[in-house]
Amino acid sequence: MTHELTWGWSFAALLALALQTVLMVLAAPWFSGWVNRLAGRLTGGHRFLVGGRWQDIHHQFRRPGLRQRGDGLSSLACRGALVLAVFAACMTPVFTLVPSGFPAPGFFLLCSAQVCASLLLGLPLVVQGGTTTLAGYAALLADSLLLPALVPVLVMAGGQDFSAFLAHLRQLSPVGDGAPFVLMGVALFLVTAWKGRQAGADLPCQLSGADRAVWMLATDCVQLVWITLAGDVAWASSLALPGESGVEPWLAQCLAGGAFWIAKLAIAALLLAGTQLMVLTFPRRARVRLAAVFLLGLLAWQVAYSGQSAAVGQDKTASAQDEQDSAWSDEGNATP
Amino acid sequence: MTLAVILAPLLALCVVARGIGFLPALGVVTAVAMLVDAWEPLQEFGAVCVVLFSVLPVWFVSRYQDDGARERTGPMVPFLALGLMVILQLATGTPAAMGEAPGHAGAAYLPAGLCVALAGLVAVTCRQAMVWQWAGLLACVDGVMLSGVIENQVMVVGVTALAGCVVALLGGMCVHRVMLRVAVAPAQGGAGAERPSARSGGFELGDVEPAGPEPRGLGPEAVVAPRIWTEAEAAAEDEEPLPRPGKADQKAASPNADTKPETDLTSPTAEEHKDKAAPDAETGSSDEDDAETAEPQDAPDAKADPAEPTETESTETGLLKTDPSEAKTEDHKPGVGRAVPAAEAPDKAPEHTPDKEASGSTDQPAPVDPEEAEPVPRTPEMIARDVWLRGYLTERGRDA
Repeated sequence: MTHELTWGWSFAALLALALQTVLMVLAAPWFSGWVNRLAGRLTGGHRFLVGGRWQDIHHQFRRPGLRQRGDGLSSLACRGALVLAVFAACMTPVFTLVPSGFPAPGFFLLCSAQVCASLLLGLPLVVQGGTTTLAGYAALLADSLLLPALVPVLVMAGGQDFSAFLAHLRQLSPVGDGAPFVLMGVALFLVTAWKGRQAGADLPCQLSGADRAVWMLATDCVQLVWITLAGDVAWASSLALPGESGVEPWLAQCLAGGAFWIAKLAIAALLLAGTQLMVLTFPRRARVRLAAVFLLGLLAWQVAYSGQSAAVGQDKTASAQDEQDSAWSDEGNATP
Repeated sequence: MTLAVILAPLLALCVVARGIGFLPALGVVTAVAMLVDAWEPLQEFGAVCVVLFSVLPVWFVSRYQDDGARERTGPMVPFLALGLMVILQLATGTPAAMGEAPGHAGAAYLPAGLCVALAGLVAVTCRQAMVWQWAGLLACVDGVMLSGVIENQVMVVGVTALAGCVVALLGGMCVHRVMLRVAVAPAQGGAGAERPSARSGGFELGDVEPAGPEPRGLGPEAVVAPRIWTEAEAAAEDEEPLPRPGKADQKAASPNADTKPETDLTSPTAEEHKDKAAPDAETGSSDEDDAETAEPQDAPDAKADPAEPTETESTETGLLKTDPSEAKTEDHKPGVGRAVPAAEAPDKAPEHTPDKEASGSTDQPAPVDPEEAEPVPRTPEMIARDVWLRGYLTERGRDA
């Protein structure tokens, strides 16, 4: 990627980012409904149709709210969570990366936005009181511990731009050298497994009206962003990279990337529905989730780090050998 | 480093977390991890062994019932295995440790075989169910085999194959000793009789309408395949208040209604016991059979009902008489006595007598009314049914 960032590519990247954001926000309730439906099929329960979640959100948007104590703070938290979730969706590559030189966030910023959105989503459960308070506190604690649990994954990504990191991963095959990053993707995926999805669905959230709709939409967006992040890391080759070739190949790659994204979502929905078969209490679910994220991330970091460090060590050895050879040759040239 | 090598420890963790159900997937992935690197005879042998050790035990266990062992270990056991894997990777995956290992320089390295073996050991140690521990041992065998194949250690592979055979055989013997076989029992006759569809296959002498068609053959739903009759089921049958509205009405209206319901309620089970002993039931009958047979004999008004149109139409052999009762005992058809006058109730009682029923399977009809003796043309369907029923009853008796 030695090309210069042109205005045309910048404009195309902006357009792609807007399209990706809209796609994520619109697809999030569909994905949630899909997972719910699949889980209902697996558990033998009756669930809504796939589009039922969207209809519910639409319906809640039109309903007048019932004001209660602490609704102001809850409303603010819901809107903040939605803003953060949309921001994270904007930064997450769905089918294309941004061209080199385009400002892109780091992975840490992305994860922080997601965790903050989760924290804000747990706030109404605490504020409203009632039966959901304890579960709300547990959700807040689990989400606040999520960032420390993500440390190995964050170390793997490093301080570089997330887009540049994915562009580096793009050259590795997931069934070959990129296998450790599949493990990293699994660790990221487990952030959403055993999450407050069931808790949020089962716990009667006391919000009403538009606040409830915003809460539901933000929850779905956060979930879909985590899933998309996991899919991107696990198989970065499906993402299009602008600037490598012309516009037409890039558009074709974008279309293929969109299809691959849907396939990844289908697999993730199956796995998520499978995790709902495990009946665990809420604190235990949080413990399982945090431990799985941390340990799998640590294992992935170890597996990837050993290869990188060995490669670096080999490179250093090779370069030292080259220097020594060149020095010997210089001496040999100088002697005669 | 391939994806299969990464997936094998994850599937081993699934075995630790959920049980033996993930063992075939672990075996297949381990075999793929062996074969991806090289396709040599050693790899092929290891892959075949791993697949056999993973698939056959699961198939074998699936033939047995769940032992219902309550597992008291929590969901944190897989994380113990995962933590140990991390420590193992820390010990073996560092560049210093890998420096001596040839062929790993510059590539991501995960001791997948050792990780799988470690997960299997954790399952053996921490889980309490026998099948789970067996799955842990087999996962351990898979892991050691993978490790030996990756490192090209022929001796390790051979010894592990031997050990796997021993583990599989001993575990299979333990399972066979401890667990119960799965017995596939078809739908219960008592439960199925309540459905209206189960009624249609049976017929009875009095049920056949004069102008109606020939009695329909015994469909597969009328005579159920041999099933397991336990004492509990028989007792449940005895206690079950059979909802036979038609017959109940009959018996309420019949002159000796005080004795009939008892007969009808007890006769099915008795006849089913009789069915099992059909060949030798001709001469010897149990006490309760005697008690039952005594009752129809003192119901002489069975012959006082010669004008019953259905009997003249459809009774031709005693075998034919026994057919419906046989089918009825299987099905307990409610409503068999639809549109049957009350006077027919004593007529039905002799049909339930086991003596007649047992003799009907082999002999000619014993009590035949003068009017009933009129020859009725036997259709090929009826002949075929008689032949089939004779063979069926003989078979039942042989089974019993």
